[in-house]
Parts: sequence; C-alpha cells; structure tokens
Amino acid sequence: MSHQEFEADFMKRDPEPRETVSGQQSPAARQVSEWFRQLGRLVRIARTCGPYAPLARQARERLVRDMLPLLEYHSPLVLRFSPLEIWLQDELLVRAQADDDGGLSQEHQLPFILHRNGLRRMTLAAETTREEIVAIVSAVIEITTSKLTHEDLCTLLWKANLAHVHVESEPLGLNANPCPDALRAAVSEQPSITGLTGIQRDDWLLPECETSTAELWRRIQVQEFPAKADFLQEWHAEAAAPLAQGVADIVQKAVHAESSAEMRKVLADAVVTWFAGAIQRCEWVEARDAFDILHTLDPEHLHSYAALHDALAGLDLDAIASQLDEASSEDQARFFALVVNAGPGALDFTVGVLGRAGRARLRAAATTALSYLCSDDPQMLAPYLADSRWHVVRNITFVLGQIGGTAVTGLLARAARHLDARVRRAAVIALAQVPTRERIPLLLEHLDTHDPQLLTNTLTMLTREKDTRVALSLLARINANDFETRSEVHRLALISALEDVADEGAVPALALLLQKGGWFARHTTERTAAARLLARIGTPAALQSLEEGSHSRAEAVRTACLAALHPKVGP
Amino acid sequence: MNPHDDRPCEDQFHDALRVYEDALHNARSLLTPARFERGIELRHVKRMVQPLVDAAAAREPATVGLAWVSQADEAWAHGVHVCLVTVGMGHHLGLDRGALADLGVAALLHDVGVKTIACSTTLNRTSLCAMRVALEHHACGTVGYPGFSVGQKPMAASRLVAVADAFVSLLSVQGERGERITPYEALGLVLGPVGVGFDDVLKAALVRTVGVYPPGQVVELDDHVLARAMMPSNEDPERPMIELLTTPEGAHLMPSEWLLGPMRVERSILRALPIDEWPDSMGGSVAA
Repeated sequence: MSHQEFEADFMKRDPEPRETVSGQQSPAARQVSEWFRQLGRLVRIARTCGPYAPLARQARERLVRDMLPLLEYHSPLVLRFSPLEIWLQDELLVRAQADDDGGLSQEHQLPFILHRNGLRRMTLAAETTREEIVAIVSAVIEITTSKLTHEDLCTLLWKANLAHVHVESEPLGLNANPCPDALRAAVSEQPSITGLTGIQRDDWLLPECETSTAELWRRIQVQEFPAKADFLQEWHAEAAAPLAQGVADIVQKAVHAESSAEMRKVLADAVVTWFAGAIQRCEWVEARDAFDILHTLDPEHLHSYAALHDALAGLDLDAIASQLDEASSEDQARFFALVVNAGPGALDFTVGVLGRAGRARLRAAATTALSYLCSDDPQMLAPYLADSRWHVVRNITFVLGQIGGTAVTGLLARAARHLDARVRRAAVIALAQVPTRERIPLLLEHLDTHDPQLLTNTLTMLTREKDTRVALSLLARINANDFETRSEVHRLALISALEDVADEGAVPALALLLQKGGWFARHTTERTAAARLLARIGTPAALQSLEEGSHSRAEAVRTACLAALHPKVGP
Repeated sequence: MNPHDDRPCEDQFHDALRVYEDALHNARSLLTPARFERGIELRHVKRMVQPLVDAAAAREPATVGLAWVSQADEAWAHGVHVCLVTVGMGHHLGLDRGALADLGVAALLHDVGVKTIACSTTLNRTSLCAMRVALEHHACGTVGYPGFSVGQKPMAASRLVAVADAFVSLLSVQGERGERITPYEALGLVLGPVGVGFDDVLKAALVRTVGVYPPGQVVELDDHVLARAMMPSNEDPERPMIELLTTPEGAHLMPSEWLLGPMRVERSILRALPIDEWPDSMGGSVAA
C-alpha cells in the first residue's frame, strides 16, 4: 500500500473525527488525555534530568501504573496520531500547543514526534501487560530525549514484540508497488534501472562436488546442536562488547586493508557521527571513547573539522543544555574536556550550550572551555559578538577578557560599543586584561556615559595607574559646560577619579577649575576637590596656584584654597 | 511452512511471497545510488527488514523468493536474497528480533562496501555490524581477503552472512558452469568444497533455512512425479512444500495446473534433477 493510499484509508476508517471540548469528553477520553499530559511531563523531566534520573523513573512508574486501570475499564484503546493531534477513536486527546515564546517544546510536540516516527495508530487491548506499557513509555522517552537515537519509534515498538498492542505505522514504500511480475522482471533489469548498480559481485571458484547434498546434510546435522550453543555464546559475547571496542576493531581492520587517506577520512567522518550521537544522548564516556578513536584516525583534526562542525551543528542543544544544567560537576567537566579537545570544530556547539545554559555553574564552565578553545586565536569568537542575544555577547566578552592580550583589543572595542549596557559593562571590565596603552582610549569613550554602573566600572579601570591623558580627559569633562547638568553621583565620581590620576600635567586645568566663576564663584564640590588635588600634587606650580587662590577676591575660591593649604587635623 | 497454521498452504506460500516482493520493492526504492550519496537512513532499512524477520518467525520464510534468483540479478536484488537467507539462518540459530534486524541490514548491505556504509550512515551498533560484515565476509571460508592476516577471525555475523552470500552467489554465478548449477548443487557446494572454512553450525542453519532442496529446485518424487521445491519445511528440511509439474504418468502439466502443497506423507524425494533434466519452463532443456 502506498503512502497516499494508506493516508486515504486512514481517514476513511474515521471519516469525520469529532472534536470535543474538555467538558464534553467521555470519561475514557478525559482519563487518557490526562495520561498523555503526564507523558508530556515525563518527557520534560527526562529531557531536563536525563531519562534515568530518579525523578524520571518515578514519573515513568506512575504512568505505567495509571495506564493499567484505564485498560481495565476502557479497553480497547484505539489511539490515532496526526502531526498535530492525538485522538482516542473520534475524540481529541492532545493538540500541539505553542509555548509562551511561540515555539513548540518537545512535550507539546508529542503528536508531531510520534507521527514523524511513523506511528499512525495504536490499539491497546485489555490484556496489555505492564511490561508492554513500560516498553511503549520507554520507547517514547528514548525518541523524545534525543534526536540521534539508534532506532525510530516503530522499530523500538517492533523490537519490544508487543503481543497485545497493535501498532500501525506508515508504509515504508515511497511509490506504489509494481505488480509482482514487473517487480521480478526488474530484479534482473539492465543497469538503466535506478537500483544499486555497478557493484562487482563475487566470482566464486566452482569445484565439483562428489558427495550428494543430502548426504552432506546428514553429516553436518550430527554436530548441529552442540555447535549451536557455542555459536550463540560467541554471538552474545560479541553483542555485549562495548561499542568502542567494535569501532576500534573495524577501524584497525579497515585501515589495515586499505590505508589510504580517503579511507581514514571516511572512517573519521563516521566516528564523528558516533561522537555527536553520544553527545546528544549525554553519554560522556562513550563520547570520549569516540573522540579517542577519532584522534587516532585524524590526530590534527584537519580532515574531520568540517564533519565535526556539521555533526555538532545538528544536535538538539536545548536537550543537551537542559541535562548539563542538572548534571554533576564531574559530568560537566567531562563534557567540556571533550569539546576543548575537539577543537575549533566544537566552537559553535559550545557557544550554543553557553547560550542555553540556565545555571551560572554551567555558564562558568562553558566560558572557561571557550577560553581554552580560543586562546590561540580569539578572532574565532568575533562572529558571536553579533549574536542577537545580549547574554551570549556578554559571556563572549567575558571570555575575551579571560583570554586577554593585544589580540582581543579590537573585539573588546566592538563589545564596548554594543547597544546593550550590560555588554558594555562586561567589556569595560574585560578591558582590564589588555595592555594599558590600548585600553585607555577605549575606556575614555565611556566617560560621557549616563549609566552610573558603567561609569564606575570605567573609572575603576582608568584609575588603576596615573596617566596624564586620563586626568586631562577627566578635567575636560569637569570643565565642560554641561558638567553641571550631570547628576551629583556622576560629578563626584569624575572628581574622585581625578584624585587618583592627576599629576603635574593637570595643574593648569585644575587651576582653571579652581578659579572658575570669577567674582561670582560659589562653593562647589568641584572647586573644593580641585584645591585638594592641587595640594596633593604638591609641586611648586600646584602650590603656586593655591597660594594665588588664597588671595582671590572670591570668597569661595579663597576658602577652598585655604582649606587645602591648611587642612584641619582631626582629633 | 507452518504446520500449526490452519490456513491453506497456498495462503502461507503467497503471504511469504508477498513479503519477498515487498522487500524487493523497498530495496529497489531505498538502495539507490542517489540515496547513498545523500545518506541512507538505517532506520528505514531496518524497517524494511522487519517483515522478513516476522515472516521467518511465523514460519513463512520469504526464502521462497530464492526460486527467482538469476544470473542477471541486480546488486540490490542480490542483497535482498542474501538478507532473507541470513535472517532465516539467524532465526534458526535462535537470535532475537533486534539482532535479526541488525543482521538483516548487514546482509542487505554486505556488498556495498565499508566506505559507502561509513559515508552514508551514522555510526551505531547497526551500521557498525554492517561495516564489519561488509569488510569481513570475504575473509570467511576458503577465499581470504587480501588485507587480513590469518589470525584475525571474522565476527559471527560476518561468518553468517558469508555462508548466505556463498549460497546465493552460487545460485546466480555467471559463466557456462555457473549457469548449470541447480539450487541443490549450490547448497552442496556450500556444504562441501566451497564451504570448507565455514562453521558447521552455520551450514546446518543454512539447510534449515532453505531446505535440502532449496526453492526452485526441480525434484523427482518416488512415484516419478516431477515437482519443484517452493518452500522449506521447518519440521523436515528434506520435505519441502512442492509444486507438482507432472502427473505420475509423466505428462507435463500446464503452468496453470501446477499444484502447490506439502509433500504427501507416503511420498519422498527420489532425487534432485540436474539442470539438463529440468522441463523447459523451468529453465532446463528437456521438452515439456
């Protein structure tokens, strides 16, 4: 049956699904609907804490327990799945809902996920066992917690061999089946057919066989059963071996058979998919094993860089970040050790995790990892300064600060001009890690800010050491016409900063500030501070200015100078 | 052939044949070069194999399709034929459904090559098994792969697929000698000289899967009736479901008159006919 035929048949069997509002649902629909709501909750828990976390186990156990009475009273449960809805026969149970931010979270996408996995209809009979419900719930959890599972839902359910649950899945064939005769004719068509062609089949040596087949069979049959047990034992031992062992073995054999660069690249690309899959499932040990094998194939990661980048780009970062948020410090350390070792190919991915991290601990770990990743080439972080999320840019700025040095100055200059004040503040702090001569011009740009916190950060950075440029810039602002329009906090901050950086070069400007106002000079904080600064500078020129001021006709100037020259000594 | 199934033999046979045809159809759709280029979804391939596993478990093995193996088989059809023999063997060996699905995928892709599989799939247990089989199945038996050292023993799955591949390849081997090999002789070659390095347990599993008289083999019954073996019996590999081609008097029946069913209890197979003695309609040279 073709896909189209199946869909048509699917709708024909339930011609007009009757949507019922919650209040008019049958008891069965209400209860099954609630069960699916709980399933959605379990999906959320499993994605956040991991499918094997105690909380997830409890929720799973509760779900299984709740389904049994439903089956007892309402079986058979005939569930139908469309991309947006789940139905109990003709009653709507679940409809995909958008989150507050307009997106669809996994728990709200349940109908789509189940439909995408090929599930179309599921009928649970009254005899459905507890183990079968466990298998169904486990399969749903497996496919919803990871994009890169080994199996799809239909295969997982098929593997579970559910005796009392009838599962109808989407037909696999893409086109209608040709008639059998045509199909059998196609088996031996010439290579024009779009089949798997051009592969050389084996050429077998054809010796004569003296003994009849029936006789040979009778001889073999004698040893069949003892050998069967040995074979099965061998089979199970191989199946139980860690995946890493199998991969290492195939890599060794394949490279031994053909040690070309192409073979190495192909194998490396394959191992990258395994690595990415393990990361998606948050299996850190497996991911490390994969990485170790990748390292043996491509020690410099030259060939696997693009593959690694692409594979990691396709991961479900929300799920990974959620689990990492809840992970132990050890697991987080394992994860970040992996991405640091993976090199630049993991950069996008790490920034993605950083952007989705919900907890400060994870953000701190991610920024540290990024510092290691980009310490040799901070320019790799440049694209992320254009990220639309302010918090990502702020954290990248922090990383640039961690790296420090001349190489990050230009990037921090960009961050320092970011539209968001929180980024600018972080940039100002990060500028502490660049050479003084480079950071001062960038910091001076922020002296005109109206953001008190940013100004404080800027002044803190600027006053780390004495610098005439800083002092003159401060004085220029203090002497500016609009200085009076600034808030008192700003004014005091600028003047206080001036005290830390002013030197001989600032004396003329301070003298001007001191005399500012002429006959009409009033008592101001700036004037007092200027006098005090001149006294602290204490050079002949500074003292000369104070001396002149102490004879000024303006009382405010005179008072300020005298107070600076003869400070009162406290008790 | 399932003795516990109440349905007529013909129904069982046609169900098995339908599974075979579906497998062929799906393989033809899935295993195109274009799909390999953009990456095949092993999950789809695995779903394709699942009905073969189910059929084997229901004792309606799709090995009935072996009757249509020919020298001109496309590689994807060869893959399907090896797959259905492999799945049947695995079932007889007692492997579980998951293992059979992985094994079936590996058998289906056994001639695709390690590089193609590695390029076009994500690496997991299923694709790893397929890669190992693709690499190792040549190293089994008497024909060694050049890159292998003697001490390296192929994994169990590779050895299993190698046996199935040997049998199916012998059914479709080209050349003058190849064209004269009957299914019965092909099986004899695998049990005998060609399969010297094969495990006996795997050879036994092969016989249990295809029967001593594999599908398509023309046999003479002890009442001198000619028949074609169509479907192996799970109870006795030497007593397949057959299609009667002649009357006891030796008169050839028209294809529309061929009778399909299990061998009668009192009957036994006298001998498997060499290709020269097959009726024309079966690909032989004896006039009907």
